Amino acid sequence: MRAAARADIFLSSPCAGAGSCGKCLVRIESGLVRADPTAKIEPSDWERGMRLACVTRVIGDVVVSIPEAVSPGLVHRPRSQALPVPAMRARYLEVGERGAQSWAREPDPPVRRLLLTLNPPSTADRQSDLARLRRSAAEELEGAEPLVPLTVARSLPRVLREAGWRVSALVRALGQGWEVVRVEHAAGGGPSYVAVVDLGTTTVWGQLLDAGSGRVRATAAAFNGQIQFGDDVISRMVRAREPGGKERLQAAAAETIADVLGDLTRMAEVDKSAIAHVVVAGNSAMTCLLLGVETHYLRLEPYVPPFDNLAFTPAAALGLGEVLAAEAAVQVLPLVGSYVGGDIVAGILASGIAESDRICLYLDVGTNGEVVIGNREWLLATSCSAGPAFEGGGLRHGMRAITGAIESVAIDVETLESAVLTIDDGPPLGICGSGVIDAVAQMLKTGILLPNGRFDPGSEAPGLREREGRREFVLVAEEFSGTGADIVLTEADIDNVIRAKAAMFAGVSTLLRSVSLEWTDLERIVVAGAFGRHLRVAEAMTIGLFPELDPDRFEFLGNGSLVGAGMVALSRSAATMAEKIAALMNNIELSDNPQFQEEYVAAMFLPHTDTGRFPSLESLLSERLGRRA
Amino acid sequence: MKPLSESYRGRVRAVDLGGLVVGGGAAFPLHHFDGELPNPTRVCFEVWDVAPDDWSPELATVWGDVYGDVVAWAARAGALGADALYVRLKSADPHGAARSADEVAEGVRRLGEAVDLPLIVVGCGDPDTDRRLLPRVAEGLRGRRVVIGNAENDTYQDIGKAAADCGHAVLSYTPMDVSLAKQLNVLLVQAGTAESDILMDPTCSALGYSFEYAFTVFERDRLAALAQNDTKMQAPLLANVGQETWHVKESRASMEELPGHGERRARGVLWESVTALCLVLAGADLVVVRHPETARLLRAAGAALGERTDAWR
Repeated sequence: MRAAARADIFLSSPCAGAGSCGKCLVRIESGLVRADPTAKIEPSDWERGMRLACVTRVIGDVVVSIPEAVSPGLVHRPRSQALPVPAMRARYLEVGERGAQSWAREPDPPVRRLLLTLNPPSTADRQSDLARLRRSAAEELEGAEPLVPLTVARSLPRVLREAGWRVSALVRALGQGWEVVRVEHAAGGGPSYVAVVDLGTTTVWGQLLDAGSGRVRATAAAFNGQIQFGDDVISRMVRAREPGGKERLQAAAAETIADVLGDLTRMAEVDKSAIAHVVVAGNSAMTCLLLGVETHYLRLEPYVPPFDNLAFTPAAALGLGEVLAAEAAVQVLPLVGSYVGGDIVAGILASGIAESDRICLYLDVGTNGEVVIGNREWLLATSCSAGPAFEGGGLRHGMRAITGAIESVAIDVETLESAVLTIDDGPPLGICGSGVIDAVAQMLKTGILLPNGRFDPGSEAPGLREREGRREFVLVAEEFSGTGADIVLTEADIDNVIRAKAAMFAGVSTLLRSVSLEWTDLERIVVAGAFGRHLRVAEAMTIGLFPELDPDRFEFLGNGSLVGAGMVALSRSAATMAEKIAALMNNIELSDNPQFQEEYVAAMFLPHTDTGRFPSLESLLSERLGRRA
Repeated sequence: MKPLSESYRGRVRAVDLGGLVVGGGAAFPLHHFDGELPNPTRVCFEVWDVAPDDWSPELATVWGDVYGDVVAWAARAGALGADALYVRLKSADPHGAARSADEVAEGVRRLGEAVDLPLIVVGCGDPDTDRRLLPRVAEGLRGRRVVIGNAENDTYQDIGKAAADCGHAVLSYTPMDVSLAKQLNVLLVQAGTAESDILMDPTCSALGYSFEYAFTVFERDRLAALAQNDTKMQAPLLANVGQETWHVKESRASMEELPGHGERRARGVLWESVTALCLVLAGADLVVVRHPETARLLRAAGAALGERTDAWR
């Protein structure tokens, strides 16, 4: 079923892939598939190759036909009807291959383990133990002799001799040089890991990476424990001013990170002492609150952050000593402005736009939408309040992009029936950002939804109904949902989606106008965000999140902040690049910009008031109008 | 000296109000040197189907004896030089006379039979009332083309459909925003209204009361039609001036309250005239006024600026 969806053929699936409704019958003409017999298929049909598409796994190349009898219920979208211009073909953008790993090819980690074989001292070689260690380490560190603190020096003579002069030394970057943080028996040093954290206002994501290869060992997420002090950064900064407030907020952030790190070590089955380093990317307020840095002046003009680059902080000083190795340190991504923080710097780093000659756009679609335009010579950033709709927040049945979230929606142009796909094919529990984009786009294209975000009262879609005077659209009926209740999209939900996409579009348009550029000048558009595993660009254009542009210009990065943090954790040159990015970046404020307000109102329409930017959709809609007339 | 002139790609649509065509120009009103303007600016007089209780005493000296008799009021408006009538069905206001939809619709139907002047018939302003009232009004006036309004974001579907079914034009009303104006036009067309049946009221204000904002909204609406050739913005523009200017302090205050500001009648008329003339220059194809003297002054100004006087009634 998923393979068919990739080919733009949506099979009818009221049960959302649970294998219980029997509507998605297909016939396997040739090729290998795996599926268990089901009561929904007669044995004779089974013999003929009939299978339920939703519970059948494709093993090799297969030829599949859709039986005639099934076709009426098939949610198909022939290209001519979907969108008339070939360039607007449905295109999935998966989370890019370019992840933290790509940097590990030339590993240059800020924390590394050196295996050293020292020459034992003799009457001919009377160097001190410490000097011996430093000189040996320097051979592995391009000639730079690391500093050795007293904590290591204290036990060094014994450790070196007991280990027979073959030791493992954990070293960490210190300014331009290095310091030794631990020395132990060469065999005793197990694999070492680094953890990266995207410290979001709402959600905290963490990842455990192999320090050597950069491989992702585990990914975990939790809601930020600071939510009890307010939903947004402003209210939290206000709370931080109360007596003891700063400490309470610091502790809440640290506890959340500790929980995430605990989950990561459990999932990857590694000992906490193997995590030698943590890199955190967060917006300016979140970063400061984690570090216990005064945030009061962050809220005031001229919106200057308290620091840009900061030395590594001992984990124990932040209350993270319990879940990490004793010597572990926390590194944060540099801050640019009050509302442009380390998360954007990390995203820009991950996107690679600061190394490009071409003019690129970076767009982090989140509660706070972040927009950056530029290239290797200049970067201009801004942020706009989009609301949580694309993260599944503020929607009646919205949810994060996790198992069971509806991530794709298709609506048949003739029958107006809907079909959905969920993440990991779990029973549908709610809808995440990518699903919402699909749903709104499909409802608009099939005429269920009007450009002002209201349902067309004249529409005869079977999913449309009225509850307590408000119209809503049923995506999954209760008997097929994982919650036992209908999963719906309401007009209020759609309103939130329109506000979110309008804020993003207006943010980009305003930023572009401030540098006298047009959308069409953007050669590459990197989209980041937590709305799902993929982004269907054509549908994002249909709802007007982007104007109609060549889909090949778009790339989807997923959680850019996490990817960027991973790069910094694995490479000192990436950290240097992050510093460069922070220094290069300028930001503008949209809150007091009248142009933004105007762009926002213009974007509060599906797809947009300026229909000229959406020629394909425009012709599709007027064609439908013509057919009806 | 060679005068500079603009030429535009687009043209405003000509809309038939019912025997009177407005719009159709390829330039801003009164800007004859820039392009063809086949129809002059028109002046509508505002009349109510119930006696207004908050109109200026200066207006009562003109209309006071016909307040409460909409047919007589309309006849006098015609005699005093109205090109068309802007009929507000205030009697349906649930917070006022609260007359039934049938009663109000019947009153308009009789008015339609009694006068030849083109009619722009607008509801009382309460969306729930208007949504039910205006389809009846449209039905009652079937066979005599009028303009029905106001179609707003919440009411456009019912009003647009009723007007289209009965062969009337529609007045779309939006609160002073270029984008909102265009959005409503798009929605009206999607709901079945012909583009050539749409007239726009983008909301204006009185001189001195954020007037420059109203001016630029009119100007930008008109530029979208002419310079950008935006087909969704090419409906003629209506400026509902009288209801704005006759409420401001400068028009209302007595001689005692505003010593040194001159006679109240002149103040009211001038406030209305200057506001209206400015909006015409910013793009209005027809203006709605309350005082007949304003119409005379506007025409004089138009003639001085080269308007084809033969086109005036």
